[in-house]
Amino acid sequence: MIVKSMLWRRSTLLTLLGLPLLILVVILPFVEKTTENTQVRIDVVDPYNQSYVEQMVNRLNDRESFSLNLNDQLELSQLARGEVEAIFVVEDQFQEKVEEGETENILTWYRHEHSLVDGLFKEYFASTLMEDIVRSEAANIVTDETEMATWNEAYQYGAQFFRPEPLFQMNFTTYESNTIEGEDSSNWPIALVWAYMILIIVYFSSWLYEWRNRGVFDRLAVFPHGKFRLHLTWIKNVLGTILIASLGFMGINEWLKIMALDFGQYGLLALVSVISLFIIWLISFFIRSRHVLIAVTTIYTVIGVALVLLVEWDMLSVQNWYQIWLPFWFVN
Amino acid sequence: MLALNDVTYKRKKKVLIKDISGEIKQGDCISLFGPNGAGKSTLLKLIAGLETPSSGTCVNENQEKISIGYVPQQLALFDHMTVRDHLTYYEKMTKQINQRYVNEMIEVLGLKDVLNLNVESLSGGMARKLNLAIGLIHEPDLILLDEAFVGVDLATKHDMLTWLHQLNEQGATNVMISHDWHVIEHIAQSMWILDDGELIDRFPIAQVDQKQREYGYYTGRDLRKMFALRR
Repeated sequence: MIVKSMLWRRSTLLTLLGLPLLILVVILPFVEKTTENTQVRIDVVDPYNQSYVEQMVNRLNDRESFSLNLNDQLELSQLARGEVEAIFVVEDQFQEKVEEGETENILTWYRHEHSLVDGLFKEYFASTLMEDIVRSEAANIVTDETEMATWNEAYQYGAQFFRPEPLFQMNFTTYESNTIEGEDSSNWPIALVWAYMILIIVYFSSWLYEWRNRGVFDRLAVFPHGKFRLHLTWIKNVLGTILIASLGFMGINEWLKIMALDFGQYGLLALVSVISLFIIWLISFFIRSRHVLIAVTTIYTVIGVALVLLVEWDMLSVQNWYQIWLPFWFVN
Repeated sequence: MLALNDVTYKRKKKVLIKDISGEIKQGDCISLFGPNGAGKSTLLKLIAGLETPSSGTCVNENQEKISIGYVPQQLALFDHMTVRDHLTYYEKMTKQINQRYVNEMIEVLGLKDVLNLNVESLSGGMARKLNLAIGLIHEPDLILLDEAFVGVDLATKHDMLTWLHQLNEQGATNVMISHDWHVIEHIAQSMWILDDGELIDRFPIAQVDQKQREYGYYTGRDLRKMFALRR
């Protein structure tokens, strides 16, 4: 009943659901755009709608680094708007030309003066094309010289020479950094999630003050464990909310991949949030004014998150005493 | 039932209650009276066990533990909870199983029609009745009322007093703070006059006419006006 009365408030629903949704709505387009930005966007224009070109584009699309779009009309303004990095226009009878081993006048490459990484795709496209051209040329020679093999057999046979045994191999080791370097080891987003947890706890602390001011605790104090039971109900409620919020955050993050976190970090977030809950609960006995509690918690949270940011941006060196700020626990 | 022996209470070096001694017997109905800041609410909290005396003792003279019902001055209710939810919550809290008593209380206090209403939708009078009801839900031996009648109309006051009177007749002990003469006249048997943390006198309610002249200085204009209403 008490839990229902605490949760069934407009302000509670707004804090618990509205705020994360708002953050999600603001962050999501940014996240999607960031993912898209990692791909090189290329337009392939085939005014003749050739099936071979479509197959070629599908093959080229296997690489995640490139985002290919097949069109039948050339629209150079896309380059100026920065919507694509480059445009490749294929000629008519593309497949025939490739199979005849023709290497000139089969493709036109359009690029903008600001295009930077389209060269990567050009190399990739050229090597894929060259493989077809060389295999076709080889099949042409074989079928000219002998009738023992068909053109297709010779063409298929040629594939093995494009995936040869390596001449030598390099040792390869993945470097997993434990230090704060670059975006992958960023800890400030999780510190912000912790700040949201603090917001939840401080929001719920308003009930402690309300019940105290209204004399609810006094009334309950005359019953055996009455006061303690209401405190326990409050703790259970906030604890449940924090755990649900942590799980919700974990689910959303695993789905949208906003930040790279392992289960240990999710656990640490939950642990630090629970510790924060007990600290705020304890200090609420000493700080008699809710406004003072909000002020103290806000200052603590802002300083803690600011320290994490400053350390991550190499503007501050790590000191042992920073550990008194809970968000600093997220910094490895 | 309860004996106060030289009870003194200090907070931040300030003496709020000075050497109060007295006895509260079963079935008593005592009205604590005095000007604002006299220490009435503090004394009530000391009796309730919500505060611990700095010196002196507040001793339960009964063999068995006495159950206390404390009704604070503020409306100590939960928002967004219905009247029924409140009653159920406190029934569970106090392990009250005498449903007949609870139903009778609901009937006498006129809460039956508002059982499913949220606290926010209650009138001031109904909220006061609920505030009283949940303080008495466990059939307490000792009822402590801290200005429980503030802002209520005559009908509401009547319902509340009827129930308190009934409980008092059944053996419950009342200690209350009120500045409402209707309330004092209706149920109080004796009056304790407090000023500046000291118990300056106690007397049966029948002597109030005589005493009001004596303590007019302490109790101020409001009391004289209120007493005048009585005539």
